[in-house]
Amino acid sequence: MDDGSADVALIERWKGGDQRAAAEIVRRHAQALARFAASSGEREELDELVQDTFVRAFNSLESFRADSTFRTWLFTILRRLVLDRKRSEKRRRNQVELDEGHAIQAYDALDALVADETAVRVRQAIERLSPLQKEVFVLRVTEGMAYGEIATLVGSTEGACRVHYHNAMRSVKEFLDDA
Amino acid sequence: MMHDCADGDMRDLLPGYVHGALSAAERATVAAHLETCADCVAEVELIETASRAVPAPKVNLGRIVKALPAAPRGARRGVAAGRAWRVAAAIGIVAIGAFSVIALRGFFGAAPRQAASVPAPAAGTALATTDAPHAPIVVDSPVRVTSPAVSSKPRSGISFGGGISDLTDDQLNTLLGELDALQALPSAEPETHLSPIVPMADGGHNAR
Ligand SMILES: [Zn+2]
Repeated sequence: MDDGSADVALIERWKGGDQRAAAEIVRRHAQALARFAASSGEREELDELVQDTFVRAFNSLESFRADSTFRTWLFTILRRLVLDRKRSEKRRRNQVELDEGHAIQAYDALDALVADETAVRVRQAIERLSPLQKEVFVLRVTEGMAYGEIATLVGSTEGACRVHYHNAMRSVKEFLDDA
Repeated sequence: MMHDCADGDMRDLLPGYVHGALSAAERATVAAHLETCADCVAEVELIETASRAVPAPKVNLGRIVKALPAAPRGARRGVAAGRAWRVAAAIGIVAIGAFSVIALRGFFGAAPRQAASVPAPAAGTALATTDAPHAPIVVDSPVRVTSPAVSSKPRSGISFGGGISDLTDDQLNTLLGELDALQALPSAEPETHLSPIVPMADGGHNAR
């Protein structure tokens, strides 16, 4: 069970001058952050996105309050970066639909790599969820995150996140049943 | 047809169960429930499949670590507490050094020695982060030793002859400066604990 105390200890070590503590923090969270970014539609330059997240976090550690966990804070920063990126891309393109074809192609390529037919179906089901349902569902099923933590990072309430999760689960089950 | 278990609270525990995020008591409760509930067993399987179904792109950890700001340098900040911590670390390091010195002296001996007036201690001094005694960074320290370097009886675990308290402020700053210089180097391979780090040729002068 991870209550975030390991991260707090690592941050203290880093503040004391131990750069290896920073490496350990990166090792603990980078993969999960990349996965979350990918699930919210980001597929290009994921490394940069995750790197930006860590750099921002370390540059503003003074503003980190221990009332949320360091992981929650990292995810919150990443989510904001993803939203910023989406916004600027939207402005640049002005035509969101234009990209749909590309997205579907990317999925087909991924599907070919996934031998597990059920997993492919489940991912298709996840893609049909609303953006918020998808965020909550993905954080629950890939990280086992508690509603409270998800609520903090998506800026919602525990109760709302719980509803989103159960609706999402219902939708995924129905999609699989219809197959 | 996939059904939902009527026990909503139990279902809320399932993702945490899959990812090992539950307390021992919760885990036991869920495990017992799964013995008798096919719906929850199916949902656990679905959560596992969904977790597998979300692509997990690989990221370059080393590159991220390199991009991070260097750890704060306590000595330079002049914060009393930070300095106290570092002095304590230095004492720990010296104590560890007595037991875990790796004979890299020959290797470092080839490196340019900074000043003839600053004699090296009899043995290499192991610098290591206090919590990683298995990973000493060995430095042939230019810190002056004011009393006989080797004592057959260790006194309070300090192998620096007279001990850290006998060092002048300048010497202490030199030692801390070296620590800073070493630890400011980002580790390219976060998984590797034994990366040899060569001390800077002008080591002591960085302290101020
Ligand atoms: Zn059940």
